[in-house]
This record gives sequence, C-alpha cells and structure tokens, in this order.
Amino acid sequence: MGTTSAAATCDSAKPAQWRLKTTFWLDLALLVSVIVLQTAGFTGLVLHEWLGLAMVVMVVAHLLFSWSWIASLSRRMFAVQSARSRINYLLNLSLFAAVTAVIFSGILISQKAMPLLTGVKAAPDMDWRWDFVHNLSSDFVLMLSGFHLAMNWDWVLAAGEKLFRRVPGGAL
Amino acid sequence: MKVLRVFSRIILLSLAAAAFVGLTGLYARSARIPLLLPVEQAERQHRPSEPEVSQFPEFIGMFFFFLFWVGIGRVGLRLRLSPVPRSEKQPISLNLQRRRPGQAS
Repeated sequence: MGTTSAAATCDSAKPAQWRLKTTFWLDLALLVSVIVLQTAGFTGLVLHEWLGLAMVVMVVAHLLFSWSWIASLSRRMFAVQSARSRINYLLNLSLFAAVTAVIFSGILISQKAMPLLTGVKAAPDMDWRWDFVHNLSSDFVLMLSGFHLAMNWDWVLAAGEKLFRRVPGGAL
Repeated sequence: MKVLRVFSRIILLSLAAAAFVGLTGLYARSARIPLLLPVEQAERQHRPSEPEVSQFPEFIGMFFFFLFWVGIGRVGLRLRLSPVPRSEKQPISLNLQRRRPGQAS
C-alpha cells in the first residue's frame, strides 16, 4: 500500500517538475531575448526580426504558464490587496502593454521578416513615427523586465536551486 | 477540454493585446517625434542584415543596463517576493504541491 502511494506521489510530482523546468528555461530564453533584441546592430536585422516574432510565442507561453496567478489577481483586482500585489499587477500589465507595443510597431517597420511572410515588399522609407514608438517601447520593455525579474528574484533562485542542486525539502 | 481552455485563454490575451495595440496607435498618431539627424536616419534605415561580432560590447553593455534596472527594482523599490531574508531559509513556493490522483485542482 505504501509503495503504491509513494509511486503515485512520484508520478504526480513529475508533471509539476516538468512544468517548473519548462517555465524556468522559457523565462531564461525570454530574458536573453529581451537583452539580445536591444542590440539590433549585434544580431543583424534578420535575426532581430525573427527573434522578435518568436517572442510572441514565448510571451504567450509565459502568460499561459502564469495563468492561475493572472486570473486570481484579476478577480481580486478591486478587493482589498497588499500594496505589493497591486504594484506587481500594474507592473506586469505595463510590461504586457510595452511588449505588445514593441511587437506591433516592430511588425509595422519590419524590413526582412514580414515582407517574407506576407509577400508584401517593405516600404523603401522608414516610418519614423513607428520607429520612434518601437525604440521607446523597447526601452520600457527592458526596464520593466528588470523590475519583473526583481519582483520574482526569490522564485528564480528557489527554482534554480530545485532544478540544479536538488535540495530535498528546500523549495516546495 | 484542455485545448479549449488554452484556446479561450489565448483569445482573451489577444483581446487584451488588441486593446493595447489600439492605444499604441492613438499614441503614435498624437506623439511628437523628435527629428533625427540625417546621419542617424541613414544609420537606422540601413542596419546590417547579418550579425556583427564587433558589436558584442553593445550586448554586454545592454546586459549591465538590464542588471541596473534589476538592481533598482531590488534595492530602490524594495520589490521583493517575500520580506523574509533568504538567510533565514524561508521556503519559497514553486507551486509544486503534490496532488493525490483524482484530486480536483
């Protein structure tokens, strides 16, 4: 009986471990992407644009993994909450807005990826209005991502500890 | 059922993103954009397509700039997940609670 129970517990812990591992590596990929995307000169325009488009998938996956947190906090948005929860929620909402803005403006000024995907030739002249929005929102993305990491710093450390050191009874 | 749930969440996210796209459009139409110098315009319009290794220091600089914002978040704004210092070995929840088979989530 005890063996069966232990095996069942072990089996049920596997998806959670997989989820933690996936979330951790996905978040790390997002972090590297955010920094790399700030340096279009280093990556070149082709990689910059394709990585920017790949970020759409990564951000959606990140949000889906965090859905329970988003849903519970959205439901309690107007209820009594700690200042920290409110700041965290507003910070994440701002980050989502900035990411949306940077991706949308990036699509509008795309010279390599979007013309290839849509078959529409890129405009010969840059739209400076959207270029300005793209640069401004990407600055915000970098800053807000930094704050987002700062907010979740302890989670990152605990997850890293769990994944790499495998301390029994450390993080739950 | 699970696919339907994920799909509905993606639709919700898309709606939220669409709202922000609308706001971004409003801002783009009304914002005063600073005039760029012709040199800057030429530089931005003709960015290299291929990666340039010589620009690697820019990436390192950006990494430290990112760390600066993390530091501001940690120290300046005191944005902490838990007020208990790590030295006190307070466990952090990673949502790994083991559920018994058949237990509702």
